[in-house]
Amino acid sequence: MSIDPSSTKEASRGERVIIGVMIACAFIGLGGGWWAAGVKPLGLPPDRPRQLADFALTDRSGRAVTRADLTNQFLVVNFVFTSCSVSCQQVNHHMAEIQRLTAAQLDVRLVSLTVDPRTDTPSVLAEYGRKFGADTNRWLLLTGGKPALYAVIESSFLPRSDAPEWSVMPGNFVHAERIAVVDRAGTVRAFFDGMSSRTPREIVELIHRLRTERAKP
Amino acid sequence: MTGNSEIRRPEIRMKSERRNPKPEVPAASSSPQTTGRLRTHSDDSDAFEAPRRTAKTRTVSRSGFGLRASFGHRVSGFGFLLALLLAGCDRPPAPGSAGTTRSFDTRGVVREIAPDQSKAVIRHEEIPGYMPKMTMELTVRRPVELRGISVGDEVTFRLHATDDTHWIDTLRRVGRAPEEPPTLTPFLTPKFAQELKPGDELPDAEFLSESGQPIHLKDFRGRALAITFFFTRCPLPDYCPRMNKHFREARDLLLVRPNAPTNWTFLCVSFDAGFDTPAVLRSQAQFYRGTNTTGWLFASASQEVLSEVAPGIDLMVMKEGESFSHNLRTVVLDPQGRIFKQFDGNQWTPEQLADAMTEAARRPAPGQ
Repeated sequence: MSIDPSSTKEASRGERVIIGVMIACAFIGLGGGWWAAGVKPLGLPPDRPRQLADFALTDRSGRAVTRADLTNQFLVVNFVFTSCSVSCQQVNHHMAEIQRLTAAQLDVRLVSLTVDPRTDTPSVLAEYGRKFGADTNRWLLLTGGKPALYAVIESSFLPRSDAPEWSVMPGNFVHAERIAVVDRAGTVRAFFDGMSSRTPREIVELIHRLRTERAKP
Repeated sequence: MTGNSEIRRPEIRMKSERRNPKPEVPAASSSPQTTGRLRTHSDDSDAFEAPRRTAKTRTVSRSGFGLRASFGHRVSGFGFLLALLLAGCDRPPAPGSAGTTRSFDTRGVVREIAPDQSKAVIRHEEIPGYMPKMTMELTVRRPVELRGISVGDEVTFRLHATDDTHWIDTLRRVGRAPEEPPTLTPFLTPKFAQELKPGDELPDAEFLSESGQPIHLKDFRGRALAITFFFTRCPLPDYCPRMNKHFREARDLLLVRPNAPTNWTFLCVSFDAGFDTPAVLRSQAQFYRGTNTTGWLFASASQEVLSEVAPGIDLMVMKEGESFSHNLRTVVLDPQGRIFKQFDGNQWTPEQLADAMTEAARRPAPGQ
C-alpha cells in the first residue's frame, strides 16, 4: 500500500501546527515569566525564613490568646509601646487605615504586640485601642510577660541588636517600626515601613496577591 | 518606588547616623563641586534638617529663616547641572540647540516659597531619565500660580529646562503632604542589666540637684525615697505633669496624715539635663511644690548615669526630634536603698504612693 502523499502532507502540516503552538506557548510562557518578574515586589522579605511561633498572651480584655486562635488568617502585625509620644502613633494610624481598608475581608486580622508590657497592661491597651478605633474582633492588642512577648517577637519577626547601644525600642529590637504580614500558613511574608503613608495600600495589595496565589506543589 | 529605596527608609527612621547617603547625581554631575553648587540634598537629609513638627503645632521652618539669605544663590546651579547632564549625554548639544526645551510633568511638596513668589523650594519626585528625587529651588514662571499654595502642600507642576535655564508652570495644589513626625533615635547607652525586683538594691547614682550640688541615692539612706523621671518640656499632660501632680498630692497627704512617718523624700529626676539646668528645675519646682519645699527635691541625671539606672528599673528614654519619648517608672526605695515598690505607667493614685511611702519609711534603717 502506497503512502498517500496528501496524508503525509497533512501530518506534516499538523506537526507544524503543533510545533507552532508549542513555540507560541513557549513565548507566552516566557512573556508570562517576564510579566511576573516585572510585578513590583511589595515590602521587604524577612531577614531569614520566619514562621509565626506558638505563643500564649493576653488581649486587652484580659482574655488568653494563643497561636491557635490565629490559624488560617492573614495577620498584619506591628509592635507598640503606648508611652511613645508622637512618631509611633503614625504606625498605629496606618494600622487603623489597614483595618478600614480590609473591613470586608474576614480573613484579615491585625495584631499589635507591646514591647513595654509593664506599662501596657490590658486596661492601658484597651484605652489605647479605643484611641485608634481598634475593632475588638479584628485588631488584637496583646500583652503578657516580657519573656513570652520578647520570645514571640524575636523568633517570629524582629532580630535583636546585640550592640551596646540601645535601639529605639525596649528589648533592643531592630526595625520595630515595621509592620509585618503573615500569610494563612503562618509564614512571615514581608515587612513594610510603618511610618510610610504608602504602606496601608501596599499591604492590602500584598494580601490580595497572596490570597490569589496558587497553592505551591 | 523601587525596592531599594524601600529598604533604606526604615534605617533612616531608626538611626540618624545611618542616614541615606546622598543620591547619585546622574551622569557627569556627580562631582562634589557640582553638588555643592547646586545645594540640593536628598529627600532624607532634607527630612533630617526639617524641624520637628507635630500634629498639633507647626513650627516655623528653620530653612525658612535661611530662605531670605539663600534665595538667589542656589538657583544658578541648575543650569550648570543641566549643562553637565547634557555634556554627559551621548549626543552633545549641537550648536544653536540652546533654544531646545525639555518639559517634564511631575509632582512634589512645597517646602519654601520666596517672599515675592518668584521661586519655590520643592521636594520633587524622581523625574525619570532626568533627575532623581530631590529638593530644589525652582523658578516659578507665573508667580500668580503660587496663590493659594502654602508650604507643606503637595503640588503637580511642569518643569521646563533649556541648556542654561529652567522654570516651572501649571502649578496645581493636589493635596496636603502628610505631616512628618519626628523620628526616634537612641538616647541612652545602657549596659545590659537584669531588671530589678522588689527587695533588690538600686545601685547608687549621682544626680545634679536643683541647687546645683551633686546628690547621691545613698544620701537618702534612712529615709523612704520616691523617684520618678521626667523632663520639664514634656508636652503631654498625662505624662510628666501628671507625675509631678501625683507627687504633690502624695507628699501633701503624708504631710497631713496623722501619725505619718517623717523620714521620706520625693525626688523628680529630669533626663533632659542639657535643658533642665538647676535654674530651670527650680522654676519647675516652684510651680508644682509652691512655697513648701518640705520633702521634695528636683534634680537632673546625665546620660551616663541614666544609662546605668534605666535598665534595672525598665525605664526607656529615646530622643524624638528635639523632644523625648519615654515610659513612666516611679520607684519607692526603703531606708536601705532597696526597691520597695514600683509604679509603672500612670495608672496609679497619689494615695497608693503615699501608702507605699508610709510603709517603706517604717522599714528598718541601715544597721538596724
